[in-house]
Amino acid sequence: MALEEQNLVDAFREEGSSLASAALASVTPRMINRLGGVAESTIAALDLLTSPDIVSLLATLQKAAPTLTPLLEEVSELGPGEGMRGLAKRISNAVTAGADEVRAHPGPITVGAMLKMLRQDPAMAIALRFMLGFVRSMWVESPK
Amino acid sequence: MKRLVIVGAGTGGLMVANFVARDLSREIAHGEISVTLLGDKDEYIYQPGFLYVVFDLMRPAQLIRPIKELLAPGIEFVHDRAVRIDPEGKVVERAGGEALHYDYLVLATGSGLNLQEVPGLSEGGHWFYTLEGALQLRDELRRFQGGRVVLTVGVPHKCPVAPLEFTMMFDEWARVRGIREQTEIVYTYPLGRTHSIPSVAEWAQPELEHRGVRVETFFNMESVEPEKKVVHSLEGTDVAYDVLVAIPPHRGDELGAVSGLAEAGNWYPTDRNRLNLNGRDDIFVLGDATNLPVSKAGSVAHFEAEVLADNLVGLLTEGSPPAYQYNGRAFCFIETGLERATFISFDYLNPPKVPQPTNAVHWFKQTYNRIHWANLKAVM
Repeated sequence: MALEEQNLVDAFREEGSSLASAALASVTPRMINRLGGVAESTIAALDLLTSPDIVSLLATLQKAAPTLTPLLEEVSELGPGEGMRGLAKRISNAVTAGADEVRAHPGPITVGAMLKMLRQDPAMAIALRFMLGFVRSMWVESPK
Repeated sequence: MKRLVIVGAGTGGLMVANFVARDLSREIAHGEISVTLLGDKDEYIYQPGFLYVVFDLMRPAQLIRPIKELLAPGIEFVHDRAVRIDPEGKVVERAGGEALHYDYLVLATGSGLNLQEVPGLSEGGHWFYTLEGALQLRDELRRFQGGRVVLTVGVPHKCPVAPLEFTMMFDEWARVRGIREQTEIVYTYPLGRTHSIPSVAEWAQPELEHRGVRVETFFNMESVEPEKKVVHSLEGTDVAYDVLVAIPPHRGDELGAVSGLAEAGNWYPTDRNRLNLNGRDDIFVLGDATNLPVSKAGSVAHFEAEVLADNLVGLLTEGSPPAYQYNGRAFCFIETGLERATFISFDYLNPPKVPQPTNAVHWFKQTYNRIHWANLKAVM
């Protein structure tokens, strides 16, 4: 190995060694515990993701794709550049408007009445259609 | 319901509150345990950042966060000042509201500058131990074009390596600006060496010589004459300056003295392992507020907070006596310029060794400056 390369390797080794020493010297028992907690959660999440139920769900979603695709296209047409954040904002506005409506007309509220209020907003109407379509594709149209 | 009251919302107080609240979230939610944090400020300031503010390497906004954003769920934060502790009645009296009753009390009241101890220092000196002081020194350095800069050290003070860090950073800062040749740096120290820890002094002496820093040992800052721009020592020596950068002496919060619980300097007499106030099993102390022979540094408060939180969890849930012991552990980064750093790690039994400074340790410190909040919130 050329002298310059050797010097570079030595320099990296020195930097890495000093960083590792500082990290080891500053770590605490609670940090180790939290690291253990994160590792446990990660393993649990991986276990869940590879479970037969999730694999089956993914297979179902794949089969339901032809039904979902047009609905997704509807959602994506909400407005140029609006994206999911814009959709979330419009849903939030619609819910706020619905809450104002509830305050303005006190009395028992049925799910149907609430849905009717929410459907008054075009974005909500599309979002509701998407959600209902999704449920239908999952539980009605998917092959059993 | 068992009540834990923590006085002081600095590093130690926040960490203990967050560790306990996260460990006992279920008990807090069920109303079996309460955690109250009493602090006289509603913002937390990351004090190690002051050194970087001086050299325009960090902005003040990067060092400040509202305390409420740093609290784990379940902690009640009371923004008020504790004025007296009644240990027999188990009560903390406060300035602006009803007293707080406790079963266990944690004192994390920190330390502050004792500028009055050095006549003339307020008018004639600069320091970087408060945000206001750091900003004034930053402005002074922005105007600085050369001259004699004198660093002088009062005792006791927090962050024991800060005088060395400032000196080495200033040396490189002056070189980068092309004014080092017009600048004389004088480093004074109260002992007969350059640092209180012998191994650090042994390392620092040649480092300072190599940088062309003039060292004056046995220099205990006694007074400053702002008009003449001279600092006097107890030993009878005088040093003239153009810019005086002082590490002012510190003292503990008045609360301990008013309550008759603290000793000279307002430091609480604390058990070195269990961290309880001597003679009390229901009052604990951590961080700068103790009289322990350890550095007054954030890392010490952190290490103590973990031990204390584990013991408090046992006390609050089972009434079990403290099982965990603090061993005097401390960790300090040492910036040796603007791009390199080293560190020291030590405890009651093992003195530190100073490794060679590297870029990687400097980057580690820079990273830590920005993720300290996760530490405070007990999520890392």
